[in-house]
Amino acid sequence: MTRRWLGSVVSVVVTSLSVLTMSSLGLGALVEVSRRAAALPCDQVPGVPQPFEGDRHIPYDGAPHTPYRTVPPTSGWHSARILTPGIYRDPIPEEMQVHVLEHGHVLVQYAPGTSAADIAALERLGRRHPRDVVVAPYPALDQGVALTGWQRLQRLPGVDEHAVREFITKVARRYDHSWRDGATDCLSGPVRTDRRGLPRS
Amino acid sequence: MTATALGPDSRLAVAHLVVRREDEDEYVVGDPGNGNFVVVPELGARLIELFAAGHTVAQAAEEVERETGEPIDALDFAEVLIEAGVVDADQPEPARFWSVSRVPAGLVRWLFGRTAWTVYIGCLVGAIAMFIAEPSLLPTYEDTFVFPDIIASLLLTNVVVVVLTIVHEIWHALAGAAVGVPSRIRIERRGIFPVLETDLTGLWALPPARRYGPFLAGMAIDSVLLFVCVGLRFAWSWGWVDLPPGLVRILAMVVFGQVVKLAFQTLAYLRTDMYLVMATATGCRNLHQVTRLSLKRLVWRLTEQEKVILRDAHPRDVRVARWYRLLYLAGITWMVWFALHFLWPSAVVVFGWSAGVLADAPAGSYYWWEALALIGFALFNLFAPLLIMLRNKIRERRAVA
Repeated sequence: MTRRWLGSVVSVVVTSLSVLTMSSLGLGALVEVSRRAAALPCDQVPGVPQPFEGDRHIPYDGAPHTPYRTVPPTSGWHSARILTPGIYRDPIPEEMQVHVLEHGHVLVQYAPGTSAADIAALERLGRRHPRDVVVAPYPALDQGVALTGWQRLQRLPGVDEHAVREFITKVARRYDHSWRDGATDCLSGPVRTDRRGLPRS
Repeated sequence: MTATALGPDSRLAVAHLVVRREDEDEYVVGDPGNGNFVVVPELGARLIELFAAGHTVAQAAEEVERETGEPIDALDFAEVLIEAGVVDADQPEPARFWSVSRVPAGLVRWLFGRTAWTVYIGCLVGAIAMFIAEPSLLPTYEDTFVFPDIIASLLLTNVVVVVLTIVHEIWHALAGAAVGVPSRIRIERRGIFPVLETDLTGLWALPPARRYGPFLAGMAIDSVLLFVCVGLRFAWSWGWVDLPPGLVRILAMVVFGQVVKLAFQTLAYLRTDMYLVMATATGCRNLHQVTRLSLKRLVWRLTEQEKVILRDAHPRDVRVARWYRLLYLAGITWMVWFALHFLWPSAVVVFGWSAGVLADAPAGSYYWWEALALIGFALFNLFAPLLIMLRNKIRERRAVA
């Protein structure tokens, strides 16, 4: 290859890479938009919708705030600290859980006494969705598994991999600081729930 | 010998200089020992040859005049060499090179052979393939929060990024050492970004084809590290290996850092590694400065020195600058946009949050100190490029004085 040709080819490649990098922020947003589908209708979203309890930061960890209405919480006052999705072996403070949900992620939390095999199964699911899921123990649970998304709660009596997978794929990213792609909180009127997030009759 | 003592009877010590033909009637002359190089015409190269043979300045001038039939100002030429630092007028200062770059070439040559480059390219392609196969492994800003504790995350992220940047620079230095070119490391600024930089000016002593390796070496090792980290996360995600969850989060942070570093290198208008590759491939001498000055001329007055640089610019620099200036302008615009839409808003968020914590959290508590440290960190990020610019201005003024 002559020097002139080499110069031209390298110039085109380098310039293209520069432009690609500069436009990557906008390009990423476009790809994201093109991949987006309309949000699922409420009757296809697993779990029970929960009332909005606020989305403000507490000024510091340990600061007093209005108690959460559900166990685990699904919205409300939360820590400013960021917890990245992944596998955790220690319980996550509730104020931090809410911040995880506000970022569009899903929490898969299991009760004390869950068998090692069941924990391994939940963690395997978490590993397959490294961008969406936090898997952690939750001492406040008396039994089974709690699945939470922003304003969404599902309690399982035991590990049900199919139900967990359904919840992850259908609830994650519906909300990220605001409802996405036409998703709503699915509450047509006030929904009354008990502390476990189950609808009251 | 001193500059003031230079006269027709002076003999210049030029035996250590490298003289290499760069183009028709163009020779690169320099001292690989101190990294100073100049481009001279063929007559200049002939004068150096005569100086090296022991001729005085006057004798060399006479000889060239006899050969060409034209008078030549050899004294002026000798002064140019001294001013450029190619020939030392005084006692030569011992060059202070980075010790990494003084490794014997034979020890590191295998790191930059054909097999090694195949591995480097394979790693980059492999990492891209894994991102395509598993887009959830693509990095996001959340990956920098390795711990819920913000200060601990900031500390670890910054330490890891600095260490990996040093590894990047070490690979440049080793690639330079492999072709016998020592280098220096320094802190510099690229637009609004502070950077570490390996000065490989000595590469000018080599033919263009041998410069690409050292220029691309940093990105090569970045690709290997990226491949290893993405590969481990990929294998972990598919259940092929078991890793401690904390390590997986650290790997994600490293992937974020490596992707940002590689993306940064593609921004040629910031004189990154890819700029050097492009300037070498197009045969440019001083493309960035010629581009910058040709644009500056349109909106601002040039200093006398800048006018001279532009007047004496190589035709190839002028030709390439005609289109490169579009990329340069787009780059400057993008940088301003990036600063206004990302750096400034994130600084505002940090300042706002920290101010709220300072007001509401118990004074002296860990949370309170954390907010103070965050403010300090944000201020450093905002003002580091300005400090480097200020340092460079002071150095320039001292050099002129």
